[in-house]
Amino acid sequence: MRFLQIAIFGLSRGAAAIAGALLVAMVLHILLEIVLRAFFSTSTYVLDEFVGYGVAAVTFFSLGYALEHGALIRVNILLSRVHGWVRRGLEILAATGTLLLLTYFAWFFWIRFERNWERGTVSSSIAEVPIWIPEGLVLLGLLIFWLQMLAYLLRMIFGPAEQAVPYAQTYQGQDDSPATSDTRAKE
Amino acid sequence: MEALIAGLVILLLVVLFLGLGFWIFSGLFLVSVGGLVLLEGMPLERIGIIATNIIYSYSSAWELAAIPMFIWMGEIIFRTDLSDRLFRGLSPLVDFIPGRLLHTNIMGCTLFAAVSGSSTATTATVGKITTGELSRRGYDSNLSIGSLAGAGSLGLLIPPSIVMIIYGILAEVSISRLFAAGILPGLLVAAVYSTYIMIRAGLDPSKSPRGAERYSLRDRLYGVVNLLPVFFLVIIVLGSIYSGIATPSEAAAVGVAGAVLVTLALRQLTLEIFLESLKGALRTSCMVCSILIAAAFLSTAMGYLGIPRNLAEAITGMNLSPIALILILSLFYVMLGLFLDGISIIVMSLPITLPLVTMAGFDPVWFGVYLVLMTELAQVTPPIGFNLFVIQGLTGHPIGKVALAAFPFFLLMCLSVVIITIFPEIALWLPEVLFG
Amino acid sequence: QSMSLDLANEYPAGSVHGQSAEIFADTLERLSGGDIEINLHHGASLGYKSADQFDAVGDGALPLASSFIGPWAGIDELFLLSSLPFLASTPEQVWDLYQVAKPYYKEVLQENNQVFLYATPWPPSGLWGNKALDSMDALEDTRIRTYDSSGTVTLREAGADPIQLSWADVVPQLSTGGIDGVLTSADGGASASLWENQSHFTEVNYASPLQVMHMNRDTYESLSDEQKDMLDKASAAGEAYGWWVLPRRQQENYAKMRDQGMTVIEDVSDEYLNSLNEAAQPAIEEWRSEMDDRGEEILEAYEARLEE
Ligand code: NA
Ligand code: NA
Repeated sequence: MRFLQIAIFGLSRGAAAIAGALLVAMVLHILLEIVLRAFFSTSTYVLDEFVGYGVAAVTFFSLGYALEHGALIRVNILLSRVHGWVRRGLEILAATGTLLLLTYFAWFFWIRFERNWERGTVSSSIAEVPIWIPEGLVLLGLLIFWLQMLAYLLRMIFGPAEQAVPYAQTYQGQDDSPATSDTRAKE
Repeated sequence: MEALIAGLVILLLVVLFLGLGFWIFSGLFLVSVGGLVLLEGMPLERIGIIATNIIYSYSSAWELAAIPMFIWMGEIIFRTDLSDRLFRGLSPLVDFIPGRLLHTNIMGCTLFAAVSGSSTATTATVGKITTGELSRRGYDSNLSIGSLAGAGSLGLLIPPSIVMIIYGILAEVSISRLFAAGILPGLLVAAVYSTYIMIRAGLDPSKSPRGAERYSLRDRLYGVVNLLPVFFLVIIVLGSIYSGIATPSEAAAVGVAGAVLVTLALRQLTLEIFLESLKGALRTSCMVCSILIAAAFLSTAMGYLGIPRNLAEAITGMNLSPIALILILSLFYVMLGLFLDGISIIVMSLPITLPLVTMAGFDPVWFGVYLVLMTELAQVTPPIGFNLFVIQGLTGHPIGKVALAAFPFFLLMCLSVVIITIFPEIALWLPEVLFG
Repeated sequence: QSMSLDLANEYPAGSVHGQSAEIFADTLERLSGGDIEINLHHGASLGYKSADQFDAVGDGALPLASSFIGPWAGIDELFLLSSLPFLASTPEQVWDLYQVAKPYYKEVLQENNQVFLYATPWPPSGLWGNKALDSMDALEDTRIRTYDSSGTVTLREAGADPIQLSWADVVPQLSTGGIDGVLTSADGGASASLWENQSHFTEVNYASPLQVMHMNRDTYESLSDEQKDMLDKASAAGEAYGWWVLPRRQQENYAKMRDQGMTVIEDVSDEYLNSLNEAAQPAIEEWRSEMDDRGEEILEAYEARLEE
């Protein structure tokens, strides 16, 4: 159980590292485009397309990582007022609902991915990028997030009650959550 | 009537899913799926196809790309002593103004709005720099959060602005004119906010504590030196846009590069801080973008359900006088704004409301400014208000508190709408001067 | 039986295709006595762009859509045909090319679970700029915004500096001098009031790409024979309007542009057009080489038709 949790979070962190590298690459691509346009009157001709793929991949690849840090916000009017098994029940409900939703979306993304693969759809730009690549990245990010959500659900179900709740911070400012300790790092 | 019932069902679903504590993005997706099943009887297979089509198309849009980069720029400023310098520099300068540093949110957002076309990026970037610092210095948190929520939406009113570009294309109104028309109303809103803060802080000085220091002339001069790095950064970004070197969408990358260079030059940027800022940017932008993507699907669902169209058609049937029309439209937009983000409010209603408004004798450029103000209102109203979400993410304050703190600024923005409706010249004078 | 169908269109209600879609919808509603109701969603208000609408209609997410087919070239190169530069310059040529290609369009849509209803042309693209772009010398080193890769290839070949930008960035870049000109139709430029930044429009009839109205096949099959007949009539009405309005819209836009103080250059020299045509050959060749036999068939049939 513990090993599973560590392995899945490791995967999420790996995905986030790729997302970080992609964000850096997006910035560099835009700077390159500016330089090319201003000084060489030319262009990479694929800027909006590639940066678009980048922002999709960055978002989906960092979902699991953001979840574990409590950065994906929730409305905590009810959550902050209940404790013990009620709180655990709400967490299980939210995680199960989200897991079902992710399964549902992943299935339909798989259909899109498969079709774009078989049909050989490419982008209509000069680069003719096979569309299964960016769509596949979104699907992959979604699957990694699915695993992280599963890990979260298992923790809510099987973790000791007193441990389950602090793990499930909803970003209300308790000092032990990774998210808040991080934003307060400067103080 | 049907539209009202449909709207009510959506409201119930929002309260249910968000209230039970679902993550906001998954809650919004479930609301949309639920709404399409319950109200339209749409099969799950078709909804899945629609959802993935919209999710992919929206998440890979060029327009979204500025958000993670601007947030990253804010993170770099926040994690180095650039933000500290900013406040040390401003403190002595604003010492004699009632409200003191409380004005930083408004000034910061006004300035940043000239760089960024999105209110979400404006709120997240400025808020990252200001909120922690203001609370550490003992400033009133309600005024600090509220003014951030209110002023963050200036990102849309002061050019460049994504919403204005979209309105301009749809309404076939000159984008240059719209940009010019937004400037004075933007400054008006900022002035109204600052006046309010001065009044509140004047009545209750504890809201803006003076701190221990007394400032000499030397301190004030030294303060100006402290402002130089941030000032330089602003010049780089603004300069890149207004010299034509970068497009407004590309300015975010210039901002990141500028922040890296400035902090390197000040020997502030270590590899560790660079990586931390990148991680922080990923977390915040993932939260913001995932909610924006879910909200885009909610807009699509509302479009299939025909809610905005039916409401707008109902208004058409009323045969109202111009003033009554604007009044009813304002109510309509505030209601839509409870659930939808700015751009979708405009695209879904415009084909019906624009002819109504122009027939009633309003100038389409003025109406563009009015609509931007309406979408700004939508950013600060619960249950779905982006500035509120962003601030919850930044500060950890519960959304109810954020919404309450933002409420006076919501009212002040309504007041600004009244002012520009009575004096449309505030919007129309500058484009007239510039473009004839 | 009565039904209510959503129709998505990426472009504004007032655009040529927006209006043609309105005519189509009105005709269908009128003929069916209100049994078939069409909900028009202009301006991408449902969230779909033309590129997304191919699969959205095929999959049944949308029963009906009006789509610019250029972005579908990634699905099948065939859809690039109507965007190829200087292949069809006059409205008659654009019509001829459409007639030759129509069976091929129908077939591809058929294979992807949808029905081709009709197509209408975009007003021909020309060159917006701050000077007359009416000679190869004038084009030299002028930074012009293009919208697709064949435009980029062609303008580069012609000695200009093509720049690719998102449409939203065009006005900011023009007003700050980041670009000098724009390759778009009089209609497209007028809708963005480009006259505030540009002084000349040079008509070169670069291309008149097609916009297609398409319907989900299952939705189509669910119609009665009588309703299919109404659909044919409504399609004919929408199509007739789109082709009828094209030259009129062009003259209206020219009048508007002159009214705004612009110079519209309608007759450029044959020599210049020939040079542009030459510059377009690599883009056309590239298309021909990437297409299967259909490319050759279409171009041959088109040339034969031109000679008639
Ligand atoms: Na702005
Ligand atoms: Na709202």
